[in-house]
Amino acid sequence: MILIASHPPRLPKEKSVSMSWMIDVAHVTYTYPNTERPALESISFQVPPGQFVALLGPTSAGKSTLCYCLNGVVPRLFGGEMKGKVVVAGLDTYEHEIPVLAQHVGLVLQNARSQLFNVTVLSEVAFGCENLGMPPEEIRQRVTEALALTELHGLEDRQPSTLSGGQQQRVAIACVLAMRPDLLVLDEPTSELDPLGSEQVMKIVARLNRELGKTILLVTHDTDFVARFADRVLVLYQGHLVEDNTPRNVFTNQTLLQQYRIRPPQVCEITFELLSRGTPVTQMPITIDEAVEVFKRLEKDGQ
Amino acid sequence: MATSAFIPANTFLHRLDARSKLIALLTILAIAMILDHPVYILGLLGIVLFSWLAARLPLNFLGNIFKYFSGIALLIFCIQLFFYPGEIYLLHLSRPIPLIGFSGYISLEGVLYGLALILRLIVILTIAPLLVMTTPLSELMLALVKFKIPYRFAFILTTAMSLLPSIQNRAELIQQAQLCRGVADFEQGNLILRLRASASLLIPLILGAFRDSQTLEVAISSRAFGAPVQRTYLLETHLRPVDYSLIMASGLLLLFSLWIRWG
Amino acid sequence: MKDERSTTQNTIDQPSRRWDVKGRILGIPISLVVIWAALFVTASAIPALPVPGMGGVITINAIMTAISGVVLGPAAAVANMAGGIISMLLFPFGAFLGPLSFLTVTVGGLVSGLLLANRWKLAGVVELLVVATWFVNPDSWQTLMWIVPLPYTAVTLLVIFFPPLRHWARKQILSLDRVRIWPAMFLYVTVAHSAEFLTTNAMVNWMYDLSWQYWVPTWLYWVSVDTVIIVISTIIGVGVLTGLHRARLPHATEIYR
Repeated sequence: MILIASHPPRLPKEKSVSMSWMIDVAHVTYTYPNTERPALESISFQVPPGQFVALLGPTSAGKSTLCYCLNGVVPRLFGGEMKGKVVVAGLDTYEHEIPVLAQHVGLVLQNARSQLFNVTVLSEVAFGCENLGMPPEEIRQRVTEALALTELHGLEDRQPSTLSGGQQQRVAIACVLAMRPDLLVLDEPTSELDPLGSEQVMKIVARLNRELGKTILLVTHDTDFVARFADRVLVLYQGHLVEDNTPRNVFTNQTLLQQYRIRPPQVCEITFELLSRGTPVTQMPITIDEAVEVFKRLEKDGQ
Repeated sequence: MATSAFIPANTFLHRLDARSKLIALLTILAIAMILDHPVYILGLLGIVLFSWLAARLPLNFLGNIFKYFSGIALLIFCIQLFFYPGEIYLLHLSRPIPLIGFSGYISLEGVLYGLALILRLIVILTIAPLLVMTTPLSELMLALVKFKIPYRFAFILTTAMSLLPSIQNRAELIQQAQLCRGVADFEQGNLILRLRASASLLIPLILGAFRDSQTLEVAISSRAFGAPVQRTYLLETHLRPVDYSLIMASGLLLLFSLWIRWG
Repeated sequence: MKDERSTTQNTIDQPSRRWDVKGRILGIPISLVVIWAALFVTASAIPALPVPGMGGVITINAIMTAISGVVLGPAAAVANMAGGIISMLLFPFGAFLGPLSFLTVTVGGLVSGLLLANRWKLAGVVELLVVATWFVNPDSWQTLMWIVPLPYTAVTLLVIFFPPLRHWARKQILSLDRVRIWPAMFLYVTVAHSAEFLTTNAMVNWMYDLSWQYWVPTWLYWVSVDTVIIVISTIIGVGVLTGLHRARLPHATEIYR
């Protein structure tokens, strides 16, 4: 049994020290327990505060593992062997426990259903703050705020399992937002949702970045969304970081896309098809808006 | 299948704090075990039934309990009726049959003790619903935590409850799939078939549920579970004077029954 | 492949660090304990066998209890206790042991789980306590009452206190030997189930004074019920354990191997 008397009243939010990077990953190699092959191999990258980073790559490339590294779940929860350094919001994940990191990094997982485990939406969103020992009035305030950001007012007393997939995933986002993190890590939040649900979730993610300046690391296969909103794309392949570039440079590079089995945005696919038929497209569009312009110009030129 | 037995209403019993209700429940349970004269247990049952009415709980539940357990009640009563080694004979039935331990008489003590045991059974069966049906789950859990039950255990209880719908859903899917493949269901067939059906349900059910455990584990710890501070609760409960009176009354009743039995 | 990796790693001079897993309950992730409790409640809603003369049923949570120790180790006690309490909360009309019904399944998981964790002395103490609560009651001094816990309690005591058998069974469970896991699983399941039903019997006798006139005539029925439950639990136990092992899912034998 834990000794209550020795507990501080509330887990303090560690001050981020001299933070020039929101995420600073240096030479990270990580192997899960009881496995031979490392899941991640010498990964290095830095992300400044406020950036929207998309992480792409085929299945079992190590994307989830990289997400878990950022809030200390790897290696603290899974065990295993780790080398290198991960500093998130100025905090070294080797030195700080997961609850401390949870106040800076919010992790949202793929399967909406199995990451919700409370009886009502209200208790679900309050769970993190309660664990951190915040006073009830503050919890209430934070929960209201998080539910407003995710457009979930009025659903407080619903059972999470009775909600739609899109609503469930928004509850999952609200749960981490209540702890007011600086960085949001989302591991394929929309891969199990219908188009409408994905749209709602992605809209909120984009707004958290644009309006509140939250740093975002988003794992997804929805490259159309990435092309529209991300500042930067990382490509992970078999545990290696193989590309770190702007969305435009990644999505217009056909060899790279094919080599790492990444499906480009639909407009890129169309453009690649046009190019292969000999249509002289001089500027590659990556979003629908751009495509409309480019194709209008082509039309004008009589192609 | 229901995921909560709680019946919302605004009665005296519903308004009581879960802690005082829990203490009263345990006290009545203990007294039902301590005393073995039917009159006392009848008094206890009176309290339970009165509370049942006061909380406006559906009476047909009581009927179901009696119907469901009439078999065992009869069995318990008959064993005491025929085999209790009493001294005051009420009725002479036959010559003594030593082989089955029957004295040939039905004794007063046997009748009384048999009645006491039946009443004890009824008290034990009706006392838990009284708490569960008048207290929301979250308050019940909070009460457990306030009683210094480790938070982790209360967490296991609530979380398991909220996972129930998805696990039951999974169980139904597996059962349907097995039915399509011609594996018997639980309602029909002989013993071996029924048990084979349980094997073909349980193995995939357990393996499938365990596969989801990692996501759950990551989700739980990503939300600061086990932070080295004293946990707070959004929901607050306070003991009111009426709760203190109930706790006091329970204590006195317990002392009184101890005195009756051994005093 | 390996050499290549080590050269890239040498670019920074930092030794790799080995991390132990944290946040567990008796060695088992809390999520598994939670999931087991939910599975247990689901199984509590599925009836399997009638109880003679009582109109009640034994549900397939008897099987869950029997295999819990092998899957979760001593944490099975916590998981079963939670599952038993929730079952009582959701179906408060089901159990004639009332609010204390959860004790029986807790004891079943505890004894076999402790045995798997090689804490056999503690397992023995718990089992002896159960045997004592049965035999201390004057009801069990009546004619022929000693046969009621037999034969499976005798097997259980043998598995716990006879070192060669104890070591052999544990070794086969942990090594998942294709053939020998069957008898070993039979023994473990017997330990759990016999601890559960003797606790139930003892509690029934303390609460309702069922005398030998009930127990002795129904003895054969109960032994066959126990046999059926133990056999089916053995089959399910082997299926679950090998499945968990193949899918590399977390469970107790992984920890004690």
